[in-house]
Amino acid sequence: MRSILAIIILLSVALITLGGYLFEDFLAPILVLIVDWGLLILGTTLLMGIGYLQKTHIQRLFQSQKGAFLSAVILLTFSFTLISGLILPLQNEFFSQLILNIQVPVEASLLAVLAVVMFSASLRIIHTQGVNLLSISFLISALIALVIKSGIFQSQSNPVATQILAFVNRLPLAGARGILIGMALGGLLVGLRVLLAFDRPYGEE
Amino acid sequence: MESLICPNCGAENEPTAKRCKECNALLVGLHKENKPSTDDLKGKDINFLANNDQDLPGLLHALKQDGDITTDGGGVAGEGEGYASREDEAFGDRDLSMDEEGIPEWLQRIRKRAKKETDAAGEITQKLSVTQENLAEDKLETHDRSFASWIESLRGEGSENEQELETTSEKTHGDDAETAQKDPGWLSKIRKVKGISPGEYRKGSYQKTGDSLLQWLVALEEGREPIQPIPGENAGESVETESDEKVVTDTDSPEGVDLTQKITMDGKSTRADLTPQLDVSREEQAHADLFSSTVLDEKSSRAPQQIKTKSTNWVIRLMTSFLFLTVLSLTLFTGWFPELETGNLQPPGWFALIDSIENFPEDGELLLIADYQAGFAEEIELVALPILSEAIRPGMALSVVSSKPAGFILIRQLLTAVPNSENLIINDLGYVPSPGFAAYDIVNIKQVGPGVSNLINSTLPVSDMDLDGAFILTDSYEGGRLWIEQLSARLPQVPLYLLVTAQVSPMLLPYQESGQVVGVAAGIADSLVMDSLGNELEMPRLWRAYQAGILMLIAAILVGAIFSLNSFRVKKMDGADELE
Repeated sequence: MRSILAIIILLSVALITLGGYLFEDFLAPILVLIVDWGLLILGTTLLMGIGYLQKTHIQRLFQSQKGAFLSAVILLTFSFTLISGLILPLQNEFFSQLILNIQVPVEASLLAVLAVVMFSASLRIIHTQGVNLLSISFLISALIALVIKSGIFQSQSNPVATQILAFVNRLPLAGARGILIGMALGGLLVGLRVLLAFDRPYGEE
Repeated sequence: MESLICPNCGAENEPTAKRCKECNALLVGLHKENKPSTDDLKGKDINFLANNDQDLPGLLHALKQDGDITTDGGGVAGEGEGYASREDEAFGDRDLSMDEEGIPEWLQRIRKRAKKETDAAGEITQKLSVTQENLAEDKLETHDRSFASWIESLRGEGSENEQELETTSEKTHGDDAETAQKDPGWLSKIRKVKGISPGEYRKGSYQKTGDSLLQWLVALEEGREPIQPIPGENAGESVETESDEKVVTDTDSPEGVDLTQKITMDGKSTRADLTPQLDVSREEQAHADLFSSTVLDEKSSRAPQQIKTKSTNWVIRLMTSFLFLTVLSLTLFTGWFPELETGNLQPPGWFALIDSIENFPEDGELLLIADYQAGFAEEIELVALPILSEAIRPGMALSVVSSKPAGFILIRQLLTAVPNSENLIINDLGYVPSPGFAAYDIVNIKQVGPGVSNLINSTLPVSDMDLDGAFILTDSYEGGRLWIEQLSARLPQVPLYLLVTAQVSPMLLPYQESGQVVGVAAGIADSLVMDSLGNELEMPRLWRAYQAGILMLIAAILVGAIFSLNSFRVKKMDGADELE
């Protein structure tokens, strides 16, 4: 019974959403209602995730487990940010500077570390697999992309180099186009399977 | 004449003597004990010594008085005669019948038996013969041992059996009685060849003629005696031996090799000639070689080399890091890095983008979509600031929608750097935690007005806005794709512009070729082109630092790849050694 009900809801929402592209004026109120419900559910799940994270840190703090100090720092900063966000609007200069001066450097540092990790991972491919088609093609592709992006060989005075670089620059476009077409076809098939209830990602089988 | 023989020392005493004149042993009661009845002598063999070995010293003493014991046939006969004479003296006055020459009847029987039988003297002479033979074997111990090792080598039993044999021979040399009970393996095999069982040998029941063990071994050594197979050998052992010998046959002998071979021995033969030759199969040889190589590898000085390699890597890493940081610092803060030739080539769709943003009306309305994280704010700012500075005019209305939590703050931070931004009308349309939901909601809000997911500060639906363009600022391929697909489908009249990071541009450039997007600007390389628009950005300095960083990264990848390949080879060799 539950399965049939879920299938009915799924088919109704899917058909209404698709129909909204064709009967926009007629189905718009229902579409907005569906979007509102979806956003509410999405926001609720985010709040539940945040709550579960805070619960974990609270337990670690009160049970004096390892990393209790860091949990205390997280709880304090989260509480401070939450209270500030509830009290102060986004246009507030203090709140804006708080976000910009903390979040931007922290995330930039994490991305810099990520770049180093990816550089190390690219070398680890050779360390683990040696010289094979995958590792060599990966490294050569990376080196070519870096050389092109460096702009060293970009010169209007050398038309041959310009044409070669233009050809090389189009290689990622070809790959990206293939990926996009594949993803579109895959998404279409997955949507049809879900609509026809062959796949049931909403639970049970 | 009757006399008393001392049972202790064998000396003759007077018949009336009570103690021995030699050893002063008590002789009382000896008359009755030394007078066996005639019936007893007739009905039984003389087996005094056989019943009690303690009588042997007295008998030997009596025999010594008549002469040495010889080992030849005459000796044996004389031995019998001597023994008979002693017996005659010992029992001379007994009540036994005498012939006309005065010889006792028992002595005559013994002599008759001695003429008929070679070893008629009985167990005494047999024991003496065995003792003498053991003594002779001891003298030939080395010779026999060599023969034993030779036989063992022919049978492929290895040097372990030889050591056991030597141990057994040493025990034989030290304890003759124990040797008589425990014969070595080679002696048992010889007895098998000769058809003599160990029990018969010990009992002495086999016929001892000139064909003795020593003579047989000498004949075997000189080649006069054919080598015969050992009866009763294990069949499986024979098969294994044959299979092993096939390896030898392929290389050494065309006819194959028998279980034993005839080897001519001469006086010049050395110990090396008698060294056992082991038949080793290829698999066994491979294992032996592996063991030898493993031992050599363990003894090699490989560990210090590894430490030296690690130390070298550490130094190289430190030097590389120092060089990297130095070059970047010099290029960033001093402009030390030389300016490379750049063609300022425009990215694809560059002219379309410039033409589109230059035609914005003064009172136009733009939509800004903030779909990038705070970490990419610097890069997005480098890309977007020149274009937005060219596109935005004073008095324009800007609507900002964000699909990232800090999107609006980042956009506002960006707009503060745009010239003439004081009079801008900025509408914060709000934050939607999903690009798909946000794009779909923007498109459909025009019919229903504000709702739960309404854009907060919007008084008009987006579709009702007279948008002159929409700028998508994103660092995510997925977010950019959703925004492009929704907006291009629902608002086809609104031109879309992509201001993205360098990592996203390859995946979003196809939308430009398809016409869904007017123009794309991505990364610092495109922002350098924007510098030609006359904005006051410090692009030359940043561009040189960017180039220096990329060149250093290329060098680091090449050096790291070489070292990684070297370490992979070392690892592979170690793995192969462990596998072997």
